[in-house]
Amino acid sequence: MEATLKQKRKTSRFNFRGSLCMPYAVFMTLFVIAPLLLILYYAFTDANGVFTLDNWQTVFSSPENWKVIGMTFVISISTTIICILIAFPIAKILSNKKLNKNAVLVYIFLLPMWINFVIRTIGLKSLVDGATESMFGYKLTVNYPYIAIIIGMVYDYLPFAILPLYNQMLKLDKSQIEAASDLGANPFQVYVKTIIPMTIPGIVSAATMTFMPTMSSYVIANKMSNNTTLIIGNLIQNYFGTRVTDISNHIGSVLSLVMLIIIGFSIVFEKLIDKKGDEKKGGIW
Amino acid sequence: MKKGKLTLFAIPLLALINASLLSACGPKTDYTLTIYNWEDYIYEATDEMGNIIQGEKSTVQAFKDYFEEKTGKTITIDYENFSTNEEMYQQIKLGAISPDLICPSDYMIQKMANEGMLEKFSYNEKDDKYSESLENWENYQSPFIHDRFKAEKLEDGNSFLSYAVPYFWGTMGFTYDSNWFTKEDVNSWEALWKTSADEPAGKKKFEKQFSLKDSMRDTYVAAIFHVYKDEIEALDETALDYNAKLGQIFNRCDKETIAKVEAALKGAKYAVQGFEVDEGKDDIVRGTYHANLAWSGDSVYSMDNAEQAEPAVYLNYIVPEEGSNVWFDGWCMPKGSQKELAEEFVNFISNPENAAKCMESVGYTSPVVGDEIWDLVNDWYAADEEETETYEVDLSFYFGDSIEEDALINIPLENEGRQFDAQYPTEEVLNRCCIMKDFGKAQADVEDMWLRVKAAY
Repeated sequence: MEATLKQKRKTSRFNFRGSLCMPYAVFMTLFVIAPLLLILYYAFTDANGVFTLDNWQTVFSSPENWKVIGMTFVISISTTIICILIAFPIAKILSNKKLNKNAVLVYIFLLPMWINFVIRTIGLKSLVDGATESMFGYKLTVNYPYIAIIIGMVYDYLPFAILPLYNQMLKLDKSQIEAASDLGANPFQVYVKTIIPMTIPGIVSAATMTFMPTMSSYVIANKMSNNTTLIIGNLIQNYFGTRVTDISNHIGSVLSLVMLIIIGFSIVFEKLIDKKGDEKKGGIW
Repeated sequence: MKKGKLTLFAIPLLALINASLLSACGPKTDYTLTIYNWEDYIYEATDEMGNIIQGEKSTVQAFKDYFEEKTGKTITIDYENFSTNEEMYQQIKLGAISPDLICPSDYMIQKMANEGMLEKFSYNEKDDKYSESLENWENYQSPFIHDRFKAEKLEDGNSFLSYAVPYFWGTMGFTYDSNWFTKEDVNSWEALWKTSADEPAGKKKFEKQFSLKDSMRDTYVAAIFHVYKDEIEALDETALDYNAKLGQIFNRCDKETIAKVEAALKGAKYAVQGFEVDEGKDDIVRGTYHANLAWSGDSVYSMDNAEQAEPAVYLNYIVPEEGSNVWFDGWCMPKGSQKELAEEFVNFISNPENAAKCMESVGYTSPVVGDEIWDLVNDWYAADEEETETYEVDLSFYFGDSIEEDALINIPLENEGRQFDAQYPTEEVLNRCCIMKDFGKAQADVEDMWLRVKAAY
């Protein structure tokens, strides 16, 4: 009797909660890990599947690629900085409980995200072009495509910057701010010495949240510049989508890896700063 | 234990896959024909708004009924879409899809045929005859199209006709706003290379008013005509081999030409506003720019839409005087396709009655001729009898003896340079239009050049 019970217990040791991870595991393997391995394989092989580093050499020996990668970097960094500069005061205002009861105002800032970003971008393009044409007599997207791209990216990714900052601002230690002003700090000093240090984790995650998508997106750049500019996303699309040479997928894979590495660095960077932020949390420089 | 877990999940998963596979097959039919075609490139029994017309049969449905009546066997048509030649090529090369019929463009037909990826149609090169399985095409093909395809030789010595049955064709040129530009302004590719020095003082007509194609093949053509302008002008237009000679210049892709094209494209910044592939045909209607490098079919679409816009805009189409590209899309059978079924379908769609329906809904020009097509063209474009200001066009070179009457049509003078001229260019215009060839080994060089041009913009 006891033996059978024991056996039963043994066989029924099926971990139900653990098994709920299975769909996720299957998804990750099929759609994240397998493609990554494929990209790795392509990046280091030639058309016949033999190991080679030629693809990397091809990519980095072309000055155009450097220019494109550099330009993407400049666009992404400027977008990130501008997004944070705009989002910071907005988040501060939104975090004021009196003003933003029930967080309705936050939703107003998130509302545009309910519309597909391509449609929003096309709309923004007409708006920007119409405005500059009536004011200065030229279309911004035609005469200054890079400025137009940054405007488009800031517009599309601003909510990604507002949300983490807003969440961080909700958690601000009010007593510390009060103490600072009680002890004679002027409003500017209060900001610099207490509020900004306390929101660093929010700033960092806002930065990565905007930097990552701007590095990889190219539709906004295409629309806002009438297809006249290339950023790394276009390059990759070109190698996978429109080229039909034997080696094009391999070169495209190298470019994808380059992009992944840049994004990977930004995440490492975030973690590093985040750690420091944790140590300094509540501290005064 | 781990294994147990896996199988536990594998069983329902497999069951699911099985179920979906079974349901995808639906009721079993005797045959399945897989067609891989461009989007919106066949009659789907829908009106202009995309609503299904009651009681009308789409081409695919009509073929099924026809096939079942003829053979007594049932057939399923698996109809798939692609959006670029390159995408289609990659999918077939990777084995992601194995269709019985595809519809690539000229240069891709050439590339695939030369790479041994295509099956031959029942066509005899020597007698220039099709077998009975393609009798509709044999009887109703336009002589002009036939001659052009016959003249295009592939590496194995056969002509295009062995590997492809044309489905639609057209030219490339400018769609332009007739209120902004005169015909003389855009009658030459040189319009793209105008600079501020060419503009009269205080008037900026050309600045940022053109859009080019964001597809290397098409924009390359524009540059070729600019780069070899003098050489092309020196050719004797009346010579019999004029088109062949022009074609040789047109398809140049040696290192020197690529460098020249690159310099030319980088220098075309004053007049060019941007690149597009699909948006252009709508943007020209909105007036985003006033001239758009366009394919004739897209141009007809733009002209139709612009007329109905509020306020109406009158757009024109022109093939520049130096020459241009004439393109074809044709039915091809990839290796391993079910040849008999595929030819049955091609023969069905080459019946003038069915071709006219496809032509009416797609808007491009069908290479099929015959009374039904001629009636459609007359219905669309011919002037009313009361109208006095007309011009006569002779299309006998195109319609041959497929129709009983003479292929003469009167077009209202106010429609000169508009839809009709875009769809049915004259023999003289077509004589300076060439077929694109695959770049072959130079492909990668040209692609790199294109990236450099875009990166420099």
